[in-house]
Amino acid sequence: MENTYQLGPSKQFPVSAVSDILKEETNNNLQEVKYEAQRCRELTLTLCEGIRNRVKELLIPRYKTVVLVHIGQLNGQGMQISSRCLWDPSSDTFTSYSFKNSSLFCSATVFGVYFE
Amino acid sequence: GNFNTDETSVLVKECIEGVIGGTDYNQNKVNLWTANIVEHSLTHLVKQGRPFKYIVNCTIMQKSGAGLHTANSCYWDTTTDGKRQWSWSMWHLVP
Repeated sequence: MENTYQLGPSKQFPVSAVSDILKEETNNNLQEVKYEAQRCRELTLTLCEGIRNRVKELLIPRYKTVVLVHIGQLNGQGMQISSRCLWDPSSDTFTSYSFKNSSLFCSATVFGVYFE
Repeated sequence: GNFNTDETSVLVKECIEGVIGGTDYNQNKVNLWTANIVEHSLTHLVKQGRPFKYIVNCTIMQKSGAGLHTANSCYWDTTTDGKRQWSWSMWHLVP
């Protein structure tokens, strides 16, 4: 891709559409799943790629995406997930979704970064 | 220029060691730890003065025998963009 000499994106990153994708994909894949190491290892990757492909289908011009998925077992343990970004807040953004059932939790995040 | 992952590797490892090396999990402090690690890493990356945007993520989980899986998937320009991941783990031997 080459420089466009535009001052900003012609179309902003569709946060609500991506949030819906996160919610749907997570719920569909994990709703009744019981935590099990092998299965969840595969599910993490499947979920991650599934989300990335669906966001790609939105065809947002000049936006790069990073998808991050954590799936873990519920065992009463403490945990913290943090992110910080160096970017242009007028064009770049992220959205996140957390899910929990009786045996596992999932945190899925999508970052959208504009290529100027 | 392209994203150089080796230089960054040393910086981030030192950063993690500096913040949580030798400590036990502490729910009251974990927020501060993730913030410190992310802040320090990002500062070092910025100092490199490269024309990149950065996303830094830090996950700290208490060791309790529970399993954790993490995956990421990116849609970007593979000739210019890159990612790097570091895991740090501490075991306690209880007599």
